[in-house]
Amino acid sequence: MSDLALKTKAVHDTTAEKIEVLTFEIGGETFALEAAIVREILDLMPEAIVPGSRPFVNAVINFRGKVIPLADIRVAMGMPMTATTIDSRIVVVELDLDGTPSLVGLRADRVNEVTSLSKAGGEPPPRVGLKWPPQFIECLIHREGTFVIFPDLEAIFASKGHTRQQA
Amino acid sequence: METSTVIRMHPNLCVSDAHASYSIISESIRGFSSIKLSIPHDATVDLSFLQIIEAARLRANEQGKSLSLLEPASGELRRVLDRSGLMTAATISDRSFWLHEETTQ
Amino acid sequence: MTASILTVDDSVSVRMTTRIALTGAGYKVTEAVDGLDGLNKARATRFDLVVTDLNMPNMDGLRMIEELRRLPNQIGVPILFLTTESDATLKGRAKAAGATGWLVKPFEPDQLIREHRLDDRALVDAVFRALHTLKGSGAMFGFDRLAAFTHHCETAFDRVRKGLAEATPGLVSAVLEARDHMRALVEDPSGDHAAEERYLLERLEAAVSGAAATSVASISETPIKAAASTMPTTWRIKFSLPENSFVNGTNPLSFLDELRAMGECRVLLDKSALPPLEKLEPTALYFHWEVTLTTDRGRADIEDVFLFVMDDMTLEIAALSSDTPSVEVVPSVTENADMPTPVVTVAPLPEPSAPEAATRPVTDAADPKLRRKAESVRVPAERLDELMDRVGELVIVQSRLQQIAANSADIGLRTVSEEMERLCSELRVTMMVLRMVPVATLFDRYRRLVHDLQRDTGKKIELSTDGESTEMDKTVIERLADPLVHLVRNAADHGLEDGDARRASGKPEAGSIRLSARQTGGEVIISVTDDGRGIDRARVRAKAEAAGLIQPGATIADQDLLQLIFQPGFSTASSVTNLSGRGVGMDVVKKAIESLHGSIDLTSRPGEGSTVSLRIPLTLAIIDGLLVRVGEGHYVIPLPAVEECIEISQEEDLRSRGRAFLSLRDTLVPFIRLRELFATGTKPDLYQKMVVVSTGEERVGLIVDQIIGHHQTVIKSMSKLHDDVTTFSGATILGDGSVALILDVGNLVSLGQEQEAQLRAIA
Repeated sequence: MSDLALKTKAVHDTTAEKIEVLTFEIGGETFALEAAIVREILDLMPEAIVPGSRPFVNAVINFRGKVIPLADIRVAMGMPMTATTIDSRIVVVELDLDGTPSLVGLRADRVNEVTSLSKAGGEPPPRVGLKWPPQFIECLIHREGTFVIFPDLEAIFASKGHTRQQA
Repeated sequence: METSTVIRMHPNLCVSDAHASYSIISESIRGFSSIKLSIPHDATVDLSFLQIIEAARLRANEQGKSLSLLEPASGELRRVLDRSGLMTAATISDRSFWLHEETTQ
Repeated sequence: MTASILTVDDSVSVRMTTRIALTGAGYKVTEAVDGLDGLNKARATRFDLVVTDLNMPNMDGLRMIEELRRLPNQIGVPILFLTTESDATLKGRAKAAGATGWLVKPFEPDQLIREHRLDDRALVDAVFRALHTLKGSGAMFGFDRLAAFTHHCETAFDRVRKGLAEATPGLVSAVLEARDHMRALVEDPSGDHAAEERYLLERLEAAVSGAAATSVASISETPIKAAASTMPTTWRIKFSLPENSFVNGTNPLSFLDELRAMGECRVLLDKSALPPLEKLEPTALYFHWEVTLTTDRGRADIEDVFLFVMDDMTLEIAALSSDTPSVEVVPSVTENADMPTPVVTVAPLPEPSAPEAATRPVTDAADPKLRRKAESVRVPAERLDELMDRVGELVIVQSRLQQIAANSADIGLRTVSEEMERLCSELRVTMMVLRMVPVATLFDRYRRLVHDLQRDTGKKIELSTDGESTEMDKTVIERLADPLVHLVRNAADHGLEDGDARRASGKPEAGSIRLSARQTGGEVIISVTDDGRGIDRARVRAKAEAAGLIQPGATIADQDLLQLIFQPGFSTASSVTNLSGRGVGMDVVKKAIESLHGSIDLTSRPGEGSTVSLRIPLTLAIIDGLLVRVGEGHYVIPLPAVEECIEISQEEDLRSRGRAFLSLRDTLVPFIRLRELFATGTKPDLYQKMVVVSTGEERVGLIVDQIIGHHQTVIKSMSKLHDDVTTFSGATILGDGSVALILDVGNLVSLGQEQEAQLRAIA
């Protein structure tokens, strides 16, 4: 899916264009991902914990006969953990990990909608005063009196520097 | 009475608008002796339109009238012609009608 | 004009997934939450496709379809329904209500797109790969002309792949013609084809530069499907569809496209049933078709095309080239002395074209040249693969049965389950044996390659091999063929010095390349060794720095530096030659080996040469494992590593606290409490079990809560995101659909050893 990655980049360059995004909630904040990378939205399902893994990707699930990792953006963002609810979903996205197209499940407290957004109105994350690590945020977009956060998945998944859980 | 006309077809030449296409074409055969059909390049076409045209060609022939395409089939019309297999056993007059291919033989 | 699609489903997950997949593919999507909502939206807007769930509140899917069919603005709209059941009566009822087709849930959103879209990137990539392999194989066996020609085709396709040119139908048909020409080249390499080649290349050029753009894109599937190696049969298919087909959203063109995708196809439209103009009902279907199709697919596959409309239509399917044998005997070209291996490897070549297939006898046993090995029945490799898949699935079902039986008091059920387990296990072993092939079949291919490499590089090269009798899974061997071509080429191209340089450094003039294979435990190690100049670290570093793979001047361990060669974007070849090809470097080798769950070791001494060792598991698919429980998680321990299982009494358990050894028949065995290692946070079971595992010399005890039993495991690889977790080598899916992780015994043993060393140091 390296061409997907290329396509995604191309969209970033032309920020004036509207893009299809999926918005979802984590810890009361609204996040958005480009719909092009979303493969499926799943209801919660049994997961297998991977002992010794980083808390950021601490489990795997059976997705159509494939074993795929389950990642939690809230860990990368340093947000507190919350219990799952009836609205909790798993958003399966396709990412380029070290040149290999890979499916990854992302935990979400709820999914909101698929909509088009223009990144033209987006602003780069402020360097100070933000409660989340700015390197993990591509941009913020003002929408209906609130912020929609575009996480930089590439940066999040590339960073292995997270505190590793000691066995 | 006017005997020659050019009919500009609308761009939806699918089954959903087949009744409209049908009545335009049959009316014009009734009213004119020479009919040229202009089909938009970007028209969406399906088999129902081919059926109407093929039936109209037969009728025109029987009545000694002339029915032709203003331009050779292109775009989706051309694709549907190929996909349908209508051109597989096409006669000289078929090829001349749809593709404006002239034979020198 | 963007097609607009209505998706009706009460599940937000399904709705959004459908929406994302379809908007991503460029469609406009409208959502409705139930039948009533769907119907209201359909009243307001005309759609090009409706996808609906069946079980919904307010108005179910069946009612909605019925109502929708009465809407004048939706005449002819195709309606697909999503169903979890394969229930025939449900399909029948939906069809009666006016549905066009169905998708079984959970459906692949891609499937939906595939059926409604012709342009396909993946297809282009697949064609490109096939061409590339064909080129390599061609050069390998002396079909130089074929290699040259394919190289040109590839150049054309490369532009498509990079998105510089569009995969137009014109290009596809040019490639199809080129394909036929390649086959001619294989059959008659010495003939004069220059004029034809020029013509074909011109056509390709024209197509790539975007000259022609007509006809059908879906026929582009042919070159890939054609790789199937069974004998094609020619069928005559006559069909007529009910008059109301259009109204019900059936599109006969899509059937024709599907038939075209199956092989060589001639579609003849029969317009004889067309009524006079004044009697014509514009929305009724009058056309019939007669299709002549040459394909390696069977009658059932052809019938499948018409599956949904089968009951209402007339369909005649007759085989023209008759007597297809029930067990197909494929000519054993491999073992024909006149023509060694080549033709088999050139497998991406298509089946013969229609007229030829029609006259050609289906069993080649009649051909005396091919008769020699007729005693054994040859089965196309893909059927063996299918069988293997089925066995894999059977193993999963069997483990489910075993679980059910274990929880049941029914003696009969338990007996059947045990019997089933035994049979499955035997079937698996038989299957494995069937698929084992000596490595010699692989090594033999490289003699010719080395011969040609001598000519192309002007270097003298001696090839030696050992361990050819080592056996491996057939699929694994096939997937090793291309990576090994790269490694051998690389050794000849970059490893070996030329004659003068060798003499100057006191080496024999002829360079040596050695291929060897040996089995250790569950792995086979295949190595390619040369006695050349060794890898120039400074050059690797310079290249890596230039390519941005490492920071200038960074300190990096020798082994890590060498591994950089396998990074994408790193290619030591400074010019593109026929040998190293374009854009296909050592990173491809690495990917291929990783996809086989193998690993690459590289050792190199300056001035003395290099060895690349590929460590490949014996088989890909299935291992025998011991299923255990630790805390709430299930884990699989590979059975070949298990020595014994011991129950640990509570006293022993208590006594062993704070220690790292248990005494086992006078020897001390280090042990690991997996519950602690995995930080389960659960209480230990009353009776702990110890599973003693070993890797040859070293042993370690793994303490688990419960031993559930023997489990045959279909291996799934772990994600790259879990690269840092070395405790597990893979994962598997259990009978109930949950995931269990497979323990990496080698790593656990060294962990045990470390722990032992630490404790000794303290003491």
